[in-house]
Amino acid sequence: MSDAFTVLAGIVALAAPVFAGPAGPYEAKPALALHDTVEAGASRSIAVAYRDGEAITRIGVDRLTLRREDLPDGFVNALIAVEDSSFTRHMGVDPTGIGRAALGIASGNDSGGGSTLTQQFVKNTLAGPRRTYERKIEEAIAAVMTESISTKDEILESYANVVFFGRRAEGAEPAARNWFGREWSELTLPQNAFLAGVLQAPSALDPLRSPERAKSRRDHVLGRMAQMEQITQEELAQAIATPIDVIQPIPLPESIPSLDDADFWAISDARRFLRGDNFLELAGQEDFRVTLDRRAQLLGQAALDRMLTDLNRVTGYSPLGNVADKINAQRPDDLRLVWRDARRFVGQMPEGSRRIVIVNGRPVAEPGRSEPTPTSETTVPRGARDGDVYLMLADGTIRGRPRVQGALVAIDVATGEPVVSVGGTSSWASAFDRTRANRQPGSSIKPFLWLTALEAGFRPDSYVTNSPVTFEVGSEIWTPSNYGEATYEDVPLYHALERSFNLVAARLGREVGFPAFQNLLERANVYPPGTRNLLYPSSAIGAVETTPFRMAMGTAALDWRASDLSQQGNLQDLERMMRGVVVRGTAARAFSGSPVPVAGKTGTSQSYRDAWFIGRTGDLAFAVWIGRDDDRPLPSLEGRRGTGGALAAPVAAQFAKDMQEAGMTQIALDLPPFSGFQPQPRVAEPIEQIQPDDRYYPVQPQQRRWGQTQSQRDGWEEWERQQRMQDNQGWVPPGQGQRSWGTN
Amino acid sequence: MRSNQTGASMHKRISALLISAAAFGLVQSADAQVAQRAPASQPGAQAEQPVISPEQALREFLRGAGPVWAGMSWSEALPNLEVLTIAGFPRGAAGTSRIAPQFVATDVTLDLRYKDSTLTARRAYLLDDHIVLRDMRLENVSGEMRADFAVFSKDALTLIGQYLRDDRPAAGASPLSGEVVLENAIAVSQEFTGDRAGRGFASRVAADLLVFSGMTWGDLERDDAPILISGMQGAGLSGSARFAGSAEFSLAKIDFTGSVPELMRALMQRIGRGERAATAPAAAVEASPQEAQAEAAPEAETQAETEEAVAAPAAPAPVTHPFALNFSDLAYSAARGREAPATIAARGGAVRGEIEENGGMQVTARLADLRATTSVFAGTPLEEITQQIASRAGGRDLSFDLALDAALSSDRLRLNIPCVTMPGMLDFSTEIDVAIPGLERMLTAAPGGRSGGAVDLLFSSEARVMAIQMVDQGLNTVLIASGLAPLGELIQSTLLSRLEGQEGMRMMMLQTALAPVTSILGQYDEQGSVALEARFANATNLPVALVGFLQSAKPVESSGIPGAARCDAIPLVQ
Repeated sequence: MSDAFTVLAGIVALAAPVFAGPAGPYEAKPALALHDTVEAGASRSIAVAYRDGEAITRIGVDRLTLRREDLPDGFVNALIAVEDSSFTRHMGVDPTGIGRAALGIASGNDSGGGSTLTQQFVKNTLAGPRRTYERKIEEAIAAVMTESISTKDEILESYANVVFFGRRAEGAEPAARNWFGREWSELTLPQNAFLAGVLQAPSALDPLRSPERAKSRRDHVLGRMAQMEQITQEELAQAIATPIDVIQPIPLPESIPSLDDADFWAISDARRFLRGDNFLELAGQEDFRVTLDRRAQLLGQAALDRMLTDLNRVTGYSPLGNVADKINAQRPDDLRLVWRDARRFVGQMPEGSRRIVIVNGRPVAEPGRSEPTPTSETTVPRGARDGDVYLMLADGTIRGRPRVQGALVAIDVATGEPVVSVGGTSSWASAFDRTRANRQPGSSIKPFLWLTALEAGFRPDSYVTNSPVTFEVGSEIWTPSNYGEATYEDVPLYHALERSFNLVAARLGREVGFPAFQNLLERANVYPPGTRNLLYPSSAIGAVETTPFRMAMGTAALDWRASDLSQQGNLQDLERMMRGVVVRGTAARAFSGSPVPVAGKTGTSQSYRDAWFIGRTGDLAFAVWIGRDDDRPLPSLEGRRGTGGALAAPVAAQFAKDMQEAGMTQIALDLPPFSGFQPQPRVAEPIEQIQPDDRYYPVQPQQRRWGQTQSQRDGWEEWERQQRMQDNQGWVPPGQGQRSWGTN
Repeated sequence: MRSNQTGASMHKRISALLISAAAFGLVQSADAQVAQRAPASQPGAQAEQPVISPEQALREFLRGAGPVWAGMSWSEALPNLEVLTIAGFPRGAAGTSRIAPQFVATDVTLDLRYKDSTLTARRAYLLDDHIVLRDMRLENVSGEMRADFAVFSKDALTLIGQYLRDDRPAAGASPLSGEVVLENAIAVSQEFTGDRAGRGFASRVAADLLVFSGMTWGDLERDDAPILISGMQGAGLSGSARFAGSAEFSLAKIDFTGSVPELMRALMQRIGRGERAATAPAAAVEASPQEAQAEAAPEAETQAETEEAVAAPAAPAPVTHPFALNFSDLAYSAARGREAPATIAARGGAVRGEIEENGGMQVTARLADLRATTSVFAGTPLEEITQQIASRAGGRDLSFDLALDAALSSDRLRLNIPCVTMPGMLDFSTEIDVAIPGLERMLTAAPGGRSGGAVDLLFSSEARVMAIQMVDQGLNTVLIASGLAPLGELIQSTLLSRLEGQEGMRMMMLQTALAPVTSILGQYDEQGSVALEARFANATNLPVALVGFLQSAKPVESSGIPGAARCDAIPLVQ
């Protein structure tokens, strides 16, 4: 016969679509955290190695979970006695407990309580901030759901695997060892009672801190066990008379040696594949090999570091944290609290380094080691304030968090596999992997637009007008502009790429159609399918964000030897044009004298926030990005503004050179740059700039037109007349793009 | 599913909001469109209607509606090309039966910043300050909700957006009042634990019609201000679920008006757990004379207060919170495996009334033909006793009927329960009308107050009607079989236990007062029924009235309680 439990479970199940369903305000779902499951936090470590088998390190922890049968009945009885005496009878919620809690909330005296073990367990599975009453409702719904699909033993096992026992014991498995230095099976009655009671407040009930509170709590648990007749009065008296014999806690290491940056980013790459849903399965393997090549990774890191070091010398390093509030004004020599907090800001440190805190304007080194030591010669970082935390490296230099960061990704075009993935510098200070950071690609997106144009019938020597163009976007208009004035010249396509003319890009986008452009970008993996905003005209000059990894993948897809992204002839034409960028265009200075033939394109986003270079040799494609995590403008370096040509292209040039010398790029580009037009003079200074990148100016066309002086209006009329003439007399595009300006 | 009862009353009420065509004939034929558009093409008419793009119309509509409604894209936007036939929504009240939308969009997609949801609709119509969706579908990790037809007012969208982002407006902001209408709606939810066994829930609920009206923010001064819904109507509700067992339900109709949070707040105040818990009357009861004197206001202030009181206008009417809930044809069953299902069913139920913030309360309730299998209580301490009750009633089901009419003000209680029938337990009816001047103070006094106040209360109270009839249908047998004493004996022992610790005159008075009560309870236990009745033309001092009341005790006639016999005849409250 069905029972009250089924009745309640059915009501909750039927209510689920309303209260916790797609439109419901709650997020309740059944939960279990059984032995050796991801839900229970089970994990194992796995060795990670480079492609050639050279080991990097192990990732994951050997966190173990347990089964219900691993828990002694003495502990389970104690737990039920003190936390949920009706556990074996209720249906996930205890009506009397709910009543008490409801009255408490209603009267503004919410003292908690009323939660069953099942509710306490599901509480650990619910995420996000909620109001108290909403949280309680969610817990109750999820608790009944959980009870309806599982046994009591499964719930106990789940509970034990997720609750915090203190002494760094996440889950029950290490709890007995961490508190008593024993296995669960070896615990005595009072020890079981202590562990059941300490869950209430693991830190406050540590007998080494609060012996009286700890004993009171343990004895309370024992008393409850006696009330429930789980133990006799004799056992109770004997257990109460037993002291709590916990062991000393195992001290935490003050610092852990950090990985080299190159290895750190390789591990970061591995973590993308070792996810929660497959980690346990893969952790059973001998090792996990990334596709990265160790030598190439080191070369990539070195090339990037060289530029970033120069740039951060300009901007200065920011502190790793500040502990000014822990400096005792009366006793400035007492820095115990200072170091305790400073350790929180930096735990993993390069070998041989030492924490530094600025006190009274001078660097003070953390005690415990003698080297390196600040001297009177040591330079305090620019802008440092008292309490700022830095590291002193083994060579005596003081380092903080780099303000300028970067990324370098290289792809083997034959296999499409990454061989280099460098996500930044000083990973001990900032672990964010920028190979997957979304940034505006700026003009480095143009090769893909140029390829779209080639597919639409344009030729590298097709002429395009380099004059202003305006788009209507809904009820608003958008006008891109070049770095300098519009030249009003007709320029060949390849020259426009070498000089990175935005006006030409915008016209091309209009002519070939943005849907076609989007289609090619998605086929090249530069953007995931369905990316929003690619139909905006500003996508032609790289206003839509993507990642260095995707840009590198996209660049690999432009190789005519290995890619079927487009017809081979189109890809070859594009390679010729991109070669021109390096030979005489915006990347010419960076690659001047380079022994490696490279085809590429620079890119700079609005206000020098992102500097890019994407490029290829015959067998290697790469993308370099330089920028700031806080999205502020890049600094100038040696008098040159923070453009892709000035900052990113030199990194790529160095990397390509080093890779060739190491024999890791062997296929040279042999197509000459396109020269069907009068040869352009070598560009002394890179010309590349995107004017304010607003998608559109919030100006109505009429306002823009009539809000001007008569002479301006006359000029406008004249410009419009010229525009119509150019449109009618210039090249005739093969596509049927829509015109913004009519022919009336 | 739509029962016969659904149509008339429900649709009468909702017709102001809904399209009445049987197939929700929103879109007319092309010919009709031309005909409809003709007048709008007249010179002058066009000039009055500024042409705006769909984007502008949508942007204007969503202005202030909250960033949850993040983005909209549509493959086709055809403003004013389709004409709607509307029977009153949303311009019906103004007498216009046909209106043109600001735009019609097809294949609408909305990405919501809530549970990573996607909202799609085959058609979307913007109608002034309402948006109408055809073939709406909301999908996210929690499941899917579909509706053939959905109407959201702008205020509703704004409220929902604010709520989902926890972005409440500032106190004092213009109040919003939202409406949502759903036709043929289905919500499906599937939840899995993710463990190897893949155990989980799969459930769905459906409704022919759902209307939510009067959506608004609650008291914005509070940190946890809720969104209130002052009205909800539903018809043709059903659902099914599968978990370790299975369950299903159906409900022909449900209406609710009232604000649950406000009602809860008023109720909490009523029982002294809210803001009024420590108000002056309670404090006065608790305070000793010395304390009261010490706390008395200085004379000058008292004088000033008196003058203010004289000059002040009459006290405003107390704030009341009306509410009403009606439902009909409820059926619910849940089963585990192939076991017989536990079922609950009711022909109908209704409760309506109002709660006043000054303590008054009126309730009229009717619960008709509630039936449940005893397995509803299986596995609980009530399992055995409920089986005995059902057995006494000659079956395996429990049933319950109730009609109640009660009014409680600060000093008067009127209670009329014409029938409570519980086959296998008892039949009961009562009618009471007593004036108790100190009742409010008693209710608001904190526990532990002076118990002597009860005696004062007794002597200061007056009665007009006191009548009780009770017929045992097996309750005593069940109690005895459960190892307890008969009902009368249980009550006697409870009352006598309250006398422990009393002494002297008070003890004698209480014993004297309770003597006839214990006698009557004994009579009930022995004879299986008791009836008492005292009615007075004028209000009579309660102790005096009690004497007559207790003296009237006699067994109920063999035909049972007349009221109880008519329980089925009492209509549902509407």
